[in-house]
Amino acid sequence: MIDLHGRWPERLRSAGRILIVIEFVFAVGMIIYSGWHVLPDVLSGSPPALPVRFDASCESLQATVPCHVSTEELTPGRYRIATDVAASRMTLLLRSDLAAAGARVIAVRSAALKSLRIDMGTGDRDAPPIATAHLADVKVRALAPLSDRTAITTLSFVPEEPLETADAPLALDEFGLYATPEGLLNDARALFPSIPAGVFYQTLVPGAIARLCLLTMVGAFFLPARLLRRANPFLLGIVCLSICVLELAILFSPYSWQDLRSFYAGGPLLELPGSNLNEGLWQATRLLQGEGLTIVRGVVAWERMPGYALFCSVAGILFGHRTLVDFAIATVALHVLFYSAAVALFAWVAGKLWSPPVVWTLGLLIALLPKQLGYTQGDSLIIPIALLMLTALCLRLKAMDEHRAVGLGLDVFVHLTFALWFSIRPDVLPGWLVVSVFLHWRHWRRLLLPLAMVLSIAISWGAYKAKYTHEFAPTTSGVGSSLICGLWEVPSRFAMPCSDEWYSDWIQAHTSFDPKSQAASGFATREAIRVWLTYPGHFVIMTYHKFLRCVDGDLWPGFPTDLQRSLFRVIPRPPIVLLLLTGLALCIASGYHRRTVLLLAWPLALDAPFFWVMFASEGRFYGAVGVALLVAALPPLLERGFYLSLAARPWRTAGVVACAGLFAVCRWPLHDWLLRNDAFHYWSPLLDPAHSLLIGMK
Amino acid sequence: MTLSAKLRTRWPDISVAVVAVAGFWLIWSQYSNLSALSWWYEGTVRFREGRDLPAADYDLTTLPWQLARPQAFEVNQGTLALVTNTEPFAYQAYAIVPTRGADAAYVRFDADLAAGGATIGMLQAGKWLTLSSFQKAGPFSDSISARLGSRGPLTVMIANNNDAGQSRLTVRSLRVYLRK
Repeated sequence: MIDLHGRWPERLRSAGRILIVIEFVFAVGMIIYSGWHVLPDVLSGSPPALPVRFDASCESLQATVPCHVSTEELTPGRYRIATDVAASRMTLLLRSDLAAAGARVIAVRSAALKSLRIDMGTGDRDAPPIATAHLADVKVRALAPLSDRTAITTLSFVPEEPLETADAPLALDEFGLYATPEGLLNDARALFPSIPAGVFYQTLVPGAIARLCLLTMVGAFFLPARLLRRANPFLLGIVCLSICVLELAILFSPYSWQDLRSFYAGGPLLELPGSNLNEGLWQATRLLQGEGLTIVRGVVAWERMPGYALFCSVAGILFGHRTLVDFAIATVALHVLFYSAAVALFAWVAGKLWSPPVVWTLGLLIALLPKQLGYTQGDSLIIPIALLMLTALCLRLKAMDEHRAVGLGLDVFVHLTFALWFSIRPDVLPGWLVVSVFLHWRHWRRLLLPLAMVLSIAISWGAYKAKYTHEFAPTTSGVGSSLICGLWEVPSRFAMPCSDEWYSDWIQAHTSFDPKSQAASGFATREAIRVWLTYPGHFVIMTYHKFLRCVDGDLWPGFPTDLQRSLFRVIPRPPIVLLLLTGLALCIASGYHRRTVLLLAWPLALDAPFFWVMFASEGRFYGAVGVALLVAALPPLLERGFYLSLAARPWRTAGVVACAGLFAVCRWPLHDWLLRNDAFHYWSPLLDPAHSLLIGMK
Repeated sequence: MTLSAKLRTRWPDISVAVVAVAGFWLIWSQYSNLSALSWWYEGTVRFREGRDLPAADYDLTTLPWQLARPQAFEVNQGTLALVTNTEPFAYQAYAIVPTRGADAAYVRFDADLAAGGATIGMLQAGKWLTLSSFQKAGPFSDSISARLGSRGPLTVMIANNNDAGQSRLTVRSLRVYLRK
């Protein structure tokens, strides 16, 4: 017979709580440790290479074609070396004595080659090499030992088996000389050192960290509330930092693919200035060189706001900008710090609205959201900016709930967060307008705050661009092209492509406008709207299709690692989003913190729909929507009062749950039925399709 | 007070205990899993490098070979000669051995492929744990290893790996190591 009297239950509870605290501390410690441990891999990509100097030359595959070599420094002593034409051999004439430098190992990687031969010679072209290394797989980093180091003065790289076309230029995506192989193929770690870094960081660590995160979420409800309230901002900031770094190490692993520096040197930085991942970096570089916020001489960004380039400039100033690769790493580092600081600040403010375990759970889930922090583009910043905006709104809600007068400083803070978003992307404007009216309809003079901020950003950017473009475009000139691309993001018989080149040709074929001008954007916008009116069925299907993709998980954009996949394998994204949306709807229907929920969830209604008509780009722009959904919907689900509120209004609750169930079951069958229904899809009751400049059928 | 009422009163205490124990189990299971994996990888590296190899638990002559449908099969003077049937990827010969509580199994083999292709691997409960395939005529050596997921017996399998039909090979040595 179990004795439920006596003192043992209290003792059991005390012992249990102590154990939970220990487990919580251990789990948090492991999460932090795992992030800090891989930080050098993320920032440097390899242990320090030896500062060996060399001159590079190459032999073209066709003897008559001249061959040149370009070298990009990744870190001191580690380089990306590439020829400009297809080459049969690339030779490095070493200017340093390998033995004196202490070099024992060559590390090399070439994404375009399967195997590679390294001839180590004395500099005599007619003499055979004194040593040869055959590297069977150089798609990932491979090592070759240096044998007779005193005699070696040249290293010749001969491609043996290309992965792609043999006439592509020869590129060593990574080359360095090292004193020891330690840390090159596997990270030096104290814990479980025998497990290869690839499988360890790609699968095992993320899975374990995800489980430890789950443990802390449950354990947080048993921790002393006062302690957790104080610790939340600091701990969540540090934990978020570690998770961000760990995810970068997973996505850009020097052991199983390529490190971040190598990725930038061999990818985005090779593209023409102005592409997605290098535009901000080029602008920032030129800005710091005193050449204005331009991409190249005389060219400003026509499709972007200036905020991200300014952010990159700050990153360069803070963390270094000696090379463009350094600039990229500095920017990524600032992404991570900004994201973590936003989570920490949010946790501090959220502690005023919700209980500490709810804040911990919410903060940790935000830290675990899929991210794109490794990509140097404005979209990478939208989640932390949205988080700052939600933080400001939480502060204001707190003041409103307590019926306190809202100080000017707080409202300035609120609108500054919106302004920050606007400085990077203009899609915030409708939401900003509605939220401003909602917040200030009783004190309308405060509406001057957002108005002044919008005008100051838009006019200054428009005026700055006008110097170069000779037209005044206060935001971006990419709306038209985005609307046109958005038209074709749903399966249809319309055979229209979507690319910058096509858009440019199309504008020039039908107008005399510069494709990057506001006038061209206006023309394209009118033509896109003409398609909507010509084919209203297609418009309905397009918006419904993108809406479904949004709620099925696209609203959490980014690159999931096993940290997220280990959860999504158990519960896929659609049911999670539907649960949160149902929670929101229940709050609104039952009146449970209705104002809070509506205010915090505004991006769902006022930002996401933008991308149902514009270019959604696989959900790349939804960052703010996903985080707003989490912040608005999760806390009520973890509060007892929410369920009491539902119990008090059973009919409304039942109605919402029934609608949610119906939507869950019917959403895709309805979509498929609409898509198959050509009579509806290609119905043109209003305008003649022949008048459209965009319509072409497969 | 009924037992259920008492349990309801004590629910906070019970939930604390359940969470504490579940948390401990979770941490321990993670550690134990990683630790076992690390041990296995360490063993695999040693095995591939041929360091500290104990005596093999089984070799070609002591493995209890059973035949599927090979055209010819003969173990003679420590070598195994096999001519497969014409089914491209069919099992040819296998040996089922008890694992005796081992956590990992390693197989090292040297073979000569005369024609076609072959696969040598390990199965447990009907599923491949690991395998090594070769289709280039000539000598071929490899070392394969696997963690043993359950306590069922281990099957060492030789299969045809030639979509054109028959293969011919001689296995000069095949040793099985079981490690606890």
